[in-house]
Amino acid sequence: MTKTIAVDEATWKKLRALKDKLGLQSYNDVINILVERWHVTEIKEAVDTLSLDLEPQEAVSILKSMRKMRAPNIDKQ
Amino acid sequence: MTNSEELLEQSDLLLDASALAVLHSSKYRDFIPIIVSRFNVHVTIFSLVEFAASIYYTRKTPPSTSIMQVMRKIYNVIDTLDDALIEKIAMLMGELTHYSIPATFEDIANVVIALQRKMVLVTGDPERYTGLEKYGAIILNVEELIRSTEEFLEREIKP
Repeated sequence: MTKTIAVDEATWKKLRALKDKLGLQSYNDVINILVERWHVTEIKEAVDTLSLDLEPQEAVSILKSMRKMRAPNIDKQ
Repeated sequence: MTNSEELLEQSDLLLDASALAVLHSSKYRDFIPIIVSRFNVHVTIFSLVEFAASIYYTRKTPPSTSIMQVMRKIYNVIDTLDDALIEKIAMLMGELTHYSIPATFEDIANVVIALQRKMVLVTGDPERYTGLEKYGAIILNVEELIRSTEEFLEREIKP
């Protein structure tokens, strides 16, 4: 099912220019790309706020040692 | 398409604390926006507590940062359990105790939630699910998710 949204003349021109620039077939694709990019930018900002200066193995081994302290028998299967 | 890629295409993902630790490391954190825009990614409040504890322990983040606010922006946080889930978690805890299989509450909760909500459980430490895999949860090493993201990026860059 399709839905209609209203935009003013200036916004429509910007969307049309972007559609041509990106070589997209429809305004549906343009809006989807804009939404996707917005999510990516927002999430990147959030991820950068939590900057852990650790290598992957280091991060996992810290978790493992914390687990062992909390439950010493957990890995003795 | 390999089995793990099929799984990733078809299912929501549930990250455990070790998967969060790997993805938020300096090497892979740039992959997170791509992963969460490609898949529905969930984390339980229990995994978040475990992950946040490791952050506080290492003192790697400024004290002013609200870890929960940041995590809620990135992931779908499962912070309530319905009665059926609570009962299934309790049942599995009872069963594991009966057979003397050691497992933490967070791991048991992740296995049950992944099973009941038909999610793929992603981990950076597959050993923690030794003894739990027989209950049927699909467990994927976070390295597979990283590899799939690398391949996706290669495809996107090379037309």
